[in-house]
Formats: sequence, C-alpha cells, structure tokens
Amino acid sequence: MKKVTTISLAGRAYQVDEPAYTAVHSYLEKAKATLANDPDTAEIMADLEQSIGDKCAAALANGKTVVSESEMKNVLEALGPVETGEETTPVDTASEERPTRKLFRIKDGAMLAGVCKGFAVYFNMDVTILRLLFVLSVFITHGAMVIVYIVLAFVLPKADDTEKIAAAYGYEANAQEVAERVRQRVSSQALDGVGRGLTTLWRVLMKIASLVAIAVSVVATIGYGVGLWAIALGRTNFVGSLSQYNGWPQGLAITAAYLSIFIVFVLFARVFDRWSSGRKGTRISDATELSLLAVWVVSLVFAISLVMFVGADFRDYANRHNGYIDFEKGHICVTEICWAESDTCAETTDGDRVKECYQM
Amino acid sequence: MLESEKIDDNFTGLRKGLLEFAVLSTISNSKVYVADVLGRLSKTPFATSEGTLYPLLSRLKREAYVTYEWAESEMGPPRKYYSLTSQGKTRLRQLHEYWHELYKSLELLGGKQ
Repeated sequence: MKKVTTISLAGRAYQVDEPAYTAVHSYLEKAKATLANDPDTAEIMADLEQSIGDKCAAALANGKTVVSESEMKNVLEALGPVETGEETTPVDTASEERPTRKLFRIKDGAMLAGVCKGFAVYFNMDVTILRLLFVLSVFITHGAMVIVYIVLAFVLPKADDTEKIAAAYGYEANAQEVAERVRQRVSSQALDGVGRGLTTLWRVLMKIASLVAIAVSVVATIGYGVGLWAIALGRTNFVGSLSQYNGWPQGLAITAAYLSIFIVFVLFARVFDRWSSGRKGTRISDATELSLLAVWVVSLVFAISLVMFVGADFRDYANRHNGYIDFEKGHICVTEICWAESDTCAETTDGDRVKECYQM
Repeated sequence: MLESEKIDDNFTGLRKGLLEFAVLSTISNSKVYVADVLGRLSKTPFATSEGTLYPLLSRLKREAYVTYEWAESEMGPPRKYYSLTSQGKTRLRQLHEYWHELYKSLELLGGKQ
C-alpha cells in the first residue's frame, strides 16, 4: 500500500504516489531555481507543468489512476533537465544546496560515543584520520584529551533523528535524501580541501601497507614450502639427542610458526585494504574470525613452546658437548666426532676433534 | 564507442549554439506545436527535450522572433501553436546568410580535407 497525493499541474488534478510526488516536486523546484533570472519563469513553469501533466495522462492510459514513481521518472527523463542558454552560476546553487553543517554526535558508524564521527562529518574528513589524530593528541597531551572527549560526549547533542542527521551532514531535512545519503555513507561523498588530501594520503599509505602485508604472507608461504621440502629431504637432521626433533616435529614446528605469521598478516592485509578503499567491505563472519583467532592462538602457543623446549634441549646439548652458541653467526657449535659424510665437519686447530655447527 | 557518438560528445557546444537556428528553421514553414518541433528535431543531431526547448522558445518570443496562439486540441487543454514573426523570418534569413558565409570561409581556409 502506498500513500497517494493529489497534485495540480497547469490546472488539472493528478494522483501520484509519494515517491513520484517527491520526484516531480524536486524537478519543478530545480527548474524554478534554474529559471530564477528568466523574465518568463511563470510561463515556462506552466508549460513544463502542462507537459508533465500530458505525459502523466498518457502513462495512465489503461484504467490506472495513480502515477507511480517509475512512471514519473520516465516522464521527467523525457522532459530533460531545464536548461537556459546562459551559463548558470554553480556557486550560488552549491551554497543553496549545502547549508552549513552542525556539530553533533553521530552514532551511525561510531566507535564510542560518536564524537570523532561527528567531527569528521563536520570537517568533511575521513573518520579514520580523525580518530588517528585524536589518539595522537591523547599521547601528546598525556591523556588530557580523554577528558575532553568525555566532556564532549556529554555536551554535544546526539543526532538521533533524520532532521538532526541532516543538519549534521548539511543536507536539507528531506527525509528521502537523508536516507539516500546515509545509505551511500560519507566516504563516498566528496570530501573537500584538506580532508580530501589527507584522505588520499591515508588511503595510499593503507594500500601500501596492505600490499606489504600480502607480500609478507606470500613470502611466509614460500618459506613454509621450502621448509617442508627441506624436512622431507632430510636436510635438517640433527644429531645426537637432538635427533628426536627430526621429521614430523620439525614439520609441526614450522607449520605452527607459519600459521602464526600467515594469519596475522592476511588479517592485516584485509584490514588495511578495507581502510584504503574507505568502504565497509565484506566483513567476514564472526564465526570465521573467531575460529581464525583460535587457530592463531593455538599455533602461536605451540610455536612458542616448541621454541622454548627445543631451545632448552639445544642449550643442554651444547653444554654437554662443550659447545657454544654463537648468536652473531647464528651457529650452535658442539665439539663432537664427525659423523659420516657430513659436509659441516671440519678440522679444528686441535687436529683430531671436529666442530659441528648448526645454523640456528 | 562509435565514431558518430564521439563527434556527438565533442561538438556539444557547437550544437548548443546552433539550436536556436535549428528551432527557427523548424518553425519557419508552418505553424507548429511544441511536440512537432521536438519530433522533427529528434531525427537530427539537434534532438532536445522540453526542459531545453521551453526556455528557448520563451526567449525567442521575448525577442519577438516567434509568436504563438492558443489552439484547441482534441485531447486535453488548449495548446500553444507557434509561428515565426516577420522579425523571426528576417532573423532566420540572416542566420542562413551568416551560416553560408561561415561555411564558405571554412572552405577557403582549406578546412575540408
């Protein structure tokens, strides 16, 4: 069911539904504004109204009595935008269409109380930049800004109805337009001056960050592949008591290490990419996010404990074999009899003893 | 994009400037309704819509090149029935002459490749 309005076009009554009324009303208002300097505005308006009326009558041919939005749109499209020969002064219309914005707290798209969002809308800036500036200012002022934020959260009025939201964004309080704009979000709206520059810079930086994160995850994946391959070929075999770590424990270790790096950077890449494009993006579901987080925590704990266990064993092994750990070269060296066909065997200065070094 | 469409895009200004000429030419022969003007122009590069035509006709009327009378129509309210005034006819002739002059000048300049 739709609400129907009766309008009079050049002295004839037509029934139109609400959206159709809005469309024809805004068309005629725009026409009036364009023709403001024309001496014959009234006459041209009457011509236009009559023409709209005729076309509506034609659209209502078979028994219908109400002009719908789509029919009205067709009619207005056929009529075309009203143009005078003279150049219109865009400055005037722009200032007319965009009343000054007012400062509100805006909950839609807010993180806390909507203070940053309100300021972002007021200055026509990307809200993320404003949040970063705010965080920065908290550090600079040793936390005084937090108090300012709390005060503002109480003092600033909340934009909780369409009229206030319209005032905050600087639109006229036309419910439909506001709904439309809010749907499109501020990010897609043209930002002006400084706001646009900063936003562009921010987006470029975020794009680079996202690409770096992707590169890191790709490198990690390649490293993981190489590692698995090396383990499969038995290139990373330890000797002595450390040989318990050969084979699948090594595979498990690098899998854990790989996952704990890969998941983080993939998520970073996603977040940076979302920020760089300025859109909300397709959020992966909470369930997916939670399970990814769980996998990450498990692999991280696993990787850390493995490093600790194996590290302790390495230390023991080095101690028992009168060896040492050379952090600069990244070597663990032990003095031990050379075991068969190993290329890491070398003669020591003592002659008969050999030193075996493992790359850490 | 087709070649002709490209030309369409590039020469918008040229067409805009010549629209008055085109409209006067359309009205020249007989009395016409706005719908007739739109219909005849629609088949030419000067195709336009009411939004542009009404303001233009009102200016031409103000400059006394065209006039209209109300004519009853079979359906709906009476319509404006446009015709050229004698001034309008003079204006159209001047435009024709000037157009020829422009065309000849361009030919002399060797513009035609």
